[in-house]
Amino acid sequence: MISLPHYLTVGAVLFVLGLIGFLTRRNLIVMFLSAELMLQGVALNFVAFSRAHGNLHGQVFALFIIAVAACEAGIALAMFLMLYRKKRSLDISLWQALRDPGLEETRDLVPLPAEPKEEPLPVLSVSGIEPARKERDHA
Amino acid sequence: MSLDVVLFTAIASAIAFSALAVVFSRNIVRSALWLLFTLIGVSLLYFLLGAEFVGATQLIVYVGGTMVLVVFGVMLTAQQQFLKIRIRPQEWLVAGILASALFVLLVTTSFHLGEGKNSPPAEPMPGSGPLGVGFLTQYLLPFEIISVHLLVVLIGAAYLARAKRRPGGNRD
Repeated sequence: MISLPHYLTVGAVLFVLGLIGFLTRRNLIVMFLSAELMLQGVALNFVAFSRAHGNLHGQVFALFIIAVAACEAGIALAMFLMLYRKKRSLDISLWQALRDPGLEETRDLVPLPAEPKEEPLPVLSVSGIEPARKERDHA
Repeated sequence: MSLDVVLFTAIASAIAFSALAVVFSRNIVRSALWLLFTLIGVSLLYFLLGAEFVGATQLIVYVGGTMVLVVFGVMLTAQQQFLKIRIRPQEWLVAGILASALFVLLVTTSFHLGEGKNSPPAEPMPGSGPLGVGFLTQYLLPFEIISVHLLVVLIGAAYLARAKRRPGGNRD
């Protein structure tokens, strides 16, 4: 019989995987997706508790979580777009201006490999002399 | 084995697999796509729990709206080749230890929570009717607050993402 602890376990799996992703990844968008995973785990817990207690509070909480997550997605993606326009990258280590005063900037111990330069697209060379155009009268 | 158990097992394993794929996939577009499957699985679990309204809202708002927004964001920003940032094994180690400790704590707590009181089979969840009445009576204030919040976010997101005009005339 499926009961409350099974649903709570699924919620815990979602939350823990989101936590791993949030701690290990450094791309802003992947961190955002991991945060969404964590929110999903919490919302699932709320609905499971709502079922166990037989009342509405958990469902209402889950609906508010969904609404707040939609807001968060909108504002976060607008901010990512703005940050990307400024530095052409989504690496979070480029954005450390809000750290504590007197704290050293975190740097990579092993520098990242250089981004491969894009080769310019091949252009066909001009071939030969342009043939003279004759005026034709189509009369 | 009842239908309930079979459905729950199938949906839960699908959710766990796609959540793993979200976290461990190297390509951002792919992990956004796997998140879509996770969200669909969670909404199916809501249906299985008897919370039809929450499940339908999840499908409409998340799968229909938020994921489209996320995919647009990915496509607008991730066209560079250098999508993959390498992760050092120490970071995996720290995150893995922390996460597994938290997981063990959560699971033991929840099973301990369930075993104590032999809870009676809960009556079917109140449907969407009581939910709507609740939103207009008991939860009226948070409902209004969140509607104003949505409006503020709409204006703020449009302000942040707008195309800024430079004095020179070129648009950024």
